[in-house]
Amino acid sequence: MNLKPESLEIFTGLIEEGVSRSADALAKMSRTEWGVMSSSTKEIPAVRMLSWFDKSKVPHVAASFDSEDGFPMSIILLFSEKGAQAVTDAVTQPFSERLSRMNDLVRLTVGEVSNIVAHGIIGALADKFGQTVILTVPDVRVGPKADILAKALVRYDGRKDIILLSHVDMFSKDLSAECSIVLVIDESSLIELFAAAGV
Amino acid sequence: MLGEMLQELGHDVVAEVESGNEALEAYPKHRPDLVCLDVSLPDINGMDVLAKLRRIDPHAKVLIVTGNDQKALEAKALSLRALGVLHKPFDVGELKEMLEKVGVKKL
Repeated sequence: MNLKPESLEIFTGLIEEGVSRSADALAKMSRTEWGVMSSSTKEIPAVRMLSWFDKSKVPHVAASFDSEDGFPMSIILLFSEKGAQAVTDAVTQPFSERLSRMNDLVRLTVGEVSNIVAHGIIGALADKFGQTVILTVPDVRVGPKADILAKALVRYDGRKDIILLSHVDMFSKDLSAECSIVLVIDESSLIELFAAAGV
Repeated sequence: MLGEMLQELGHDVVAEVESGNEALEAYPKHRPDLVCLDVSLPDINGMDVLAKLRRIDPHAKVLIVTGNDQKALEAKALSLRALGVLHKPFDVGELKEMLEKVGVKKL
C-alpha cells in the first residue's frame, strides 16, 4: 500500500505530537528538561529497510511493542549502543547511587524510555481516531540493527501491512541522542480508521 | 518502585506480582484494601484483569497505574469502576495525592 500524501501528513503530525507528549514524562522521570523531536517520517518497504539497516553491524538496542486486539500494529524504537548508554546516563543520573547495583541498567532504561515515547505516539494516534490501543510490555533486544529489527517484525505481513520509519532526536542537559522509530500498521485497519475520520 | 513508595507512605504491601493471571490468583488470598494495576502486562492486559476482578469481587478497589494516557482508555477504566488512573511517571507526592483523592486510608 502507498499512503496518500495527506494520510502520511496526518501520521507525521501525530508522530510529532506523540514524541513531544513524551518530553514532559521524560523530564519528570529524569528530573531535567528534555527536548524530543521527530525529524522525518516516510513509508518504506520492509526489504529495503532491512537491507539498508544491514549495512551497519554495530550493536544497537531496540525495544518493541505490539498492540493487542482492536488496532493491530507494532512499534519499534532503535538506539545505537552509544545512544542507549547516553540516554541511560541522562535518565539515571539523579538516582545513580540507588541504581548502581542494578544489572542490565541500559536494557531497563531503554525499555522505560521507549515505553514513554511509544505510549506518546500511540496515545496521539488513539486519541485522534477515538480508539483504545493497549501495548504489550517492551521486548528489549541487543544486536546488529537488521537482526533485531527482523526479530521484532515477526508479526509483519508484507501483503497487508505498511511500515513507517521516523527519526527522533532526544536532547537534555548533557545528552544528545537519536533513535529510529518503526511503525508497522495493518492496512485494512488503517483504511477503516481513515474512512471513519474522513481522510 | 511503587511498592517502596506505598511503604514510604505507611501502607502495607501484601503482595506484588508480575502478571495479570498472578494478580487474579493473588487477589482472593489477600483481599487487599487496594489493587494498583498496570495496563500493559506480560500476559493479559490490565483492562481484562479489571473486568475479571469485578467477577471475583464487585467491590474491589482498583487504581490503574499506567504510562498510557489515552482518553478512551481512561473512560473504559472508569466504566469498570476503577477508583482512578495515575499516569506514570509519578513521584511519591503525586501517589499520596491520588490515594487521598480516591479515599484510600492507611491502616
